[in-house]
Amino acid sequence: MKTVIMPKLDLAMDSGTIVEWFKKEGENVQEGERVVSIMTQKVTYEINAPTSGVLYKILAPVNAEVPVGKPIAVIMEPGDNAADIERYIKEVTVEEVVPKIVTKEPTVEAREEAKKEILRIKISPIAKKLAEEHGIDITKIKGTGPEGRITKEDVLNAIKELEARKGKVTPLAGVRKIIAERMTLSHKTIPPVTYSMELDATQMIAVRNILKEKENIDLSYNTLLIMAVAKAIRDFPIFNATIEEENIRILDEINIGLAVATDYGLVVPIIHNADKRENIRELNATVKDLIERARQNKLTIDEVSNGTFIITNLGMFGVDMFTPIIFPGQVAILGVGRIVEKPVAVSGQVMIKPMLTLSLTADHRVIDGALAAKFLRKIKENLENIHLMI
Amino acid sequence: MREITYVEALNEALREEMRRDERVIILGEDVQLGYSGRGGLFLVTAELMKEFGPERVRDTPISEDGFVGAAIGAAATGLKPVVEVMYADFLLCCMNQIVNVAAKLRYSTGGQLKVPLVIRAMIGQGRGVGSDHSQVPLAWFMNVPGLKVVAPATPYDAKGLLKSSIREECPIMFFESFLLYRTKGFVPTEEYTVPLGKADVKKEGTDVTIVAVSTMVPRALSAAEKLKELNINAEVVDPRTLVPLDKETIIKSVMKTNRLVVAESGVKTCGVGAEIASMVMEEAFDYLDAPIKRVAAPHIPAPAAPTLEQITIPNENDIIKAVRELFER
Repeated sequence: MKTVIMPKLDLAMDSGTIVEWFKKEGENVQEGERVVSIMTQKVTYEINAPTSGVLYKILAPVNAEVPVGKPIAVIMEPGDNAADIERYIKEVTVEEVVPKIVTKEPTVEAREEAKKEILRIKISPIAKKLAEEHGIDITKIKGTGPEGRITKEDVLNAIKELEARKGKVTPLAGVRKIIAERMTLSHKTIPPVTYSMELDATQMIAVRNILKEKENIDLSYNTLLIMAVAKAIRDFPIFNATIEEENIRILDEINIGLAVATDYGLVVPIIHNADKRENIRELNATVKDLIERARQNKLTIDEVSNGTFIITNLGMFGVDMFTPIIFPGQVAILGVGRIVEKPVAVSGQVMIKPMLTLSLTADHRVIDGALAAKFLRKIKENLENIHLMI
Repeated sequence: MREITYVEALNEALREEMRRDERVIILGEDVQLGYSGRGGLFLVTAELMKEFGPERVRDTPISEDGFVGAAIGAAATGLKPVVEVMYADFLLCCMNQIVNVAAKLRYSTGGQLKVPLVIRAMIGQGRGVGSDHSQVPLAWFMNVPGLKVVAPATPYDAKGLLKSSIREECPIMFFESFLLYRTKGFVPTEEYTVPLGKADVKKEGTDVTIVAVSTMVPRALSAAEKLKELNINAEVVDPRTLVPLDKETIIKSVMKTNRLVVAESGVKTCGVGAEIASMVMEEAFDYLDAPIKRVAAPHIPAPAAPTLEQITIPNENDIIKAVRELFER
């Protein structure tokens, strides 16, 4: 008998959510064969069977959130005794359940208090019936009848409200949950200022065209952005920092994250040591590979860990400018808009140029406006002269 | 459209049924001529003696126990007596005959004897005639198995229900509201009957059901009219017969409106309203949106002093107040 346990995939992981069981109870499994897919706060990961045998019992159903190290399934090996396994399952599950059952006997006062709580909801029979039929939580309804009694009308109003909000409900879980938590944390703790700057993308387009023509390389603008930003960070290392309680720690490695929209939420693959990749071809291949695997939900933990600065590009969706939110633990984020031809005044003449708007959001606790402007201008210069970097 | 009074409607019912079936006879005090010289204290039996003779329209001594007993015997032996007892209070004088004999004879003889008997009596207060002439004892008779209890509120229902009652094969307590005797209403000239056990929705509404009994029907209707000003659309249901009670119509109405007020002119304790309210609680509890309210007389003998008596009689304002309480915010 072997158990499948919830693995710890990185230091920060304390639990995982079951996404899918590939095998049913009673089915045979081969050692190394994938059994279950779990979702951590960062990736979805497939767990392989630790041994060959029969998937005897699934202990955690789909959507269950299981702490790291806890058994999620038991595999029966040849020669195993079902009674032993049952005993084992009882042990591992009892451990979970017992603390919940053994609660202190409530005191008389507590019981009286609880009784009062229940009695306090005044509701008419028809209102109660309607509420039950429509799954309305009566504790959430304010009664307008005599002495606050919940009436039929109150429930009908609640139903109407509920219907107005009708739609498909999905739990805020997994990646979505973590995004929600991080973004709320960011908004609560980081005082952000967003600075925007327009640049001339002529050279970016030119480089892209040349590489396409000469080397048949499909160069991503993201690759150019990562290059330009990584080089700018080298000149302004404060943008590669993290705040640790009373300290600002400027990090050695420049690990640029690229926010990628996927069907299951935002994923940020990390290009480690982005500033040290002198070869644009290799960098481009890495970027494209990471994006592709992010979309397929196939990134490893390493590939989404330890980012120091994030670029988020909404240009392909037609956005010109926006206010990105800083990922907690970092001090700035760069938003990238679309390249669009615009009339621009050059030396007293109106010219049509492909223009691109950058939006830099910086943590004002660490970065003042002038510094942010200088950094942004550096990125702009790097991009306008990107041909010099290749 | 012909409009006649409640009394005229009852008189027509008696005449038509006596013409239709020669077994129908009338017994009571002063039913032949009386003070009026025409027949009956309130002219319900007017001119009947002239048409059908003293054989079929019989004056009796002032002895309710005696003439009700005689009527039970006549019914058991093949006649169809209609007995007039005047004030319903006097029914107490013949309670043993009604409860122990009339109501049970068919059962205690295994169906060999039937008692096709109609006992007519007047109910109502407000005439300052004292506590022994002002009772509304509907519930007393509802409590007796074997009796049917009828209480019409309009001339149309009075005629149709009396004709149906005379055609029944069991003892019927037929209660007439003397406060409604002079009210007029549409009564067709053609033959018709109103079936027993069928309530009538006198006014349709959506917000509250008022089940009104006898005298209270017109009061409930005028209350409903005034409730419109409060944006409350009341439905008025007249059960017409209390035994058998048309539960279905009442419950259907309560299921629609989710609120119920029962209005009667008798005392509240163990009254008609108590029975109807309990029935609705049993059968339609889940459809109520407020406690059931009962409008009825207080639990005291009717005062003889007219000013005091008026306070004890439920009226349209009492109904409005009860309804408003159900909507109180």
